[in-house]
Amino acid sequence: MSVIVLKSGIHDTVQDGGRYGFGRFGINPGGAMDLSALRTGNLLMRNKEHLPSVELHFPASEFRFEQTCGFSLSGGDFCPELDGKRLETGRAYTADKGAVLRFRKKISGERCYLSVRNGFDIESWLGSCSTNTTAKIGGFRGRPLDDGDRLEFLAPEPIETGPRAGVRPYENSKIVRFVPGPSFSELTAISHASLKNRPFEIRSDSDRMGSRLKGEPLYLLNDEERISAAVTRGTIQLLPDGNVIILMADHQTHGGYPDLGTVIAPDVAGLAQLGPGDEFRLVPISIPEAEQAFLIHEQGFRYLKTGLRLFRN
Amino acid sequence: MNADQIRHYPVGECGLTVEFGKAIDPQLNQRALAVSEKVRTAGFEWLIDCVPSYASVTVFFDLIQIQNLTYTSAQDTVLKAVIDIVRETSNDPAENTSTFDVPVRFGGDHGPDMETVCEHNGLTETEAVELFLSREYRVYLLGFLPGFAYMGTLDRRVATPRLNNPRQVVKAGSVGIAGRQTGIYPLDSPGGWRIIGRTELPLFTPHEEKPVLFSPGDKVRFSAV
Repeated sequence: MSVIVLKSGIHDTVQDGGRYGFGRFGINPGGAMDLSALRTGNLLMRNKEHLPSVELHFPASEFRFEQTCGFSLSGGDFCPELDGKRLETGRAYTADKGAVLRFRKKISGERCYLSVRNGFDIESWLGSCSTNTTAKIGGFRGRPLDDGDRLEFLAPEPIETGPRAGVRPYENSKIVRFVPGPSFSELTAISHASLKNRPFEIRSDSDRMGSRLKGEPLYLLNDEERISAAVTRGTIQLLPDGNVIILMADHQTHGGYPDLGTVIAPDVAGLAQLGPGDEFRLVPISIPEAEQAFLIHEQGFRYLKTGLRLFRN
Repeated sequence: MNADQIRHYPVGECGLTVEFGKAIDPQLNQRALAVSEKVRTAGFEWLIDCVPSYASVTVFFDLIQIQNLTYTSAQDTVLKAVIDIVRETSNDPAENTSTFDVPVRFGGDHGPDMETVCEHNGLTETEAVELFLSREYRVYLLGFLPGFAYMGTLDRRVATPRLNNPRQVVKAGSVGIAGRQTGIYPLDSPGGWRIIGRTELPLFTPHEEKPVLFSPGDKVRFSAV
């Protein structure tokens, strides 16, 4: 009653909606980098939105289904094939017992999510099945998947192939919106101008902890020392060399670098799908605009849920 | 507590930080911890997490759970709730904390940076250890790693800046110095603090009911073994 890893990928981990409520102990949330894709994958499986899925990076693991089960792939398109037949992302499929799932090449995005009908049977730690690779706990044995690992299904069953879920979250990933933080107003006039007019690029040393950006270096008017405060996924930190890092899923709970702002949740998901060399602009927005964007994004998921339900009726 | 002296700023559309000051100070920290604990246990249905720091509290909330969003922003609703809690928290809140004794083996293989710390401060190892042991430290916050305590404040005479190039692996239990702070690595991890000794006390116990040994606000006394 499992899917077996025939050949492990570069960094594939079990992730869910994240581990919240333990920040005061220095325990960070973790979770899927692209929460929109995780939710889409689970909705396609008629699961609860934040059940654990396998977050795949390219080159991704190769899997064999030891049991017939419904599954979906969401987020990045790594050219998935089931027994040699090309699959689409954002669609429900059923793999027969013995079927092999492979990923040929990276077509779009940086992270793809493998979700299965009724989810995987993963032991939860502090309310989440996310893998914390630093503390070596959570998810599948606290580590990325390896050759021969078996991920048990909770209640495998087939599912009918339905309509394709849109890829709307990524349409606008060339624009990454953020709510300005305490150090934003301290930027020099020149830095404000370059932030407004120049794009940033994702550096290749970005990972699940943070997206490191290449762009015009930014400077603050004063260099006073700051004491650490809590940070979150999406927080834009200014490093001493003028470079910028945007904290992602495996961020630490606190940070002492100047805080330029925090990318809104819907755009963090899009950011998670940008890779080395991809360009985008950082655009400051007001709190009401940010709340509006969040609610519109949530509305998108309500439409998706309704659409998938109508199809079944 | 006077609510006029606090500053606040958004942490994205789903977070808010309330700051009581800009210093590493036991009283400011105690205020932050007291407010954080009250926010955490007040039963707000929108609360996702509340994370205290040296002198601030950050509240993470679920926008969907906040009512009347059409009329006011969620930030305003959460800020008002936190300010109410700040007002009803006394200036000198009671401390409900524990004191721990941490036995440490200093120097040698256990503390590869002990020599540098002594050189930097013109001390013998005995003097450095004595100064280090002379104070009780306060756990200001847990961060960096699960259960990693940022403790202070060290006697100036043993303070030593961080390594220029962090080590790839610092062993679990290593006791380090960074400026006038001290901390203990709960797990094997990369790290840049000056390591002066090691303890066998487990700081990260993931399968216990409380997954880490210390809580913010606790007091720590070190002893030499």
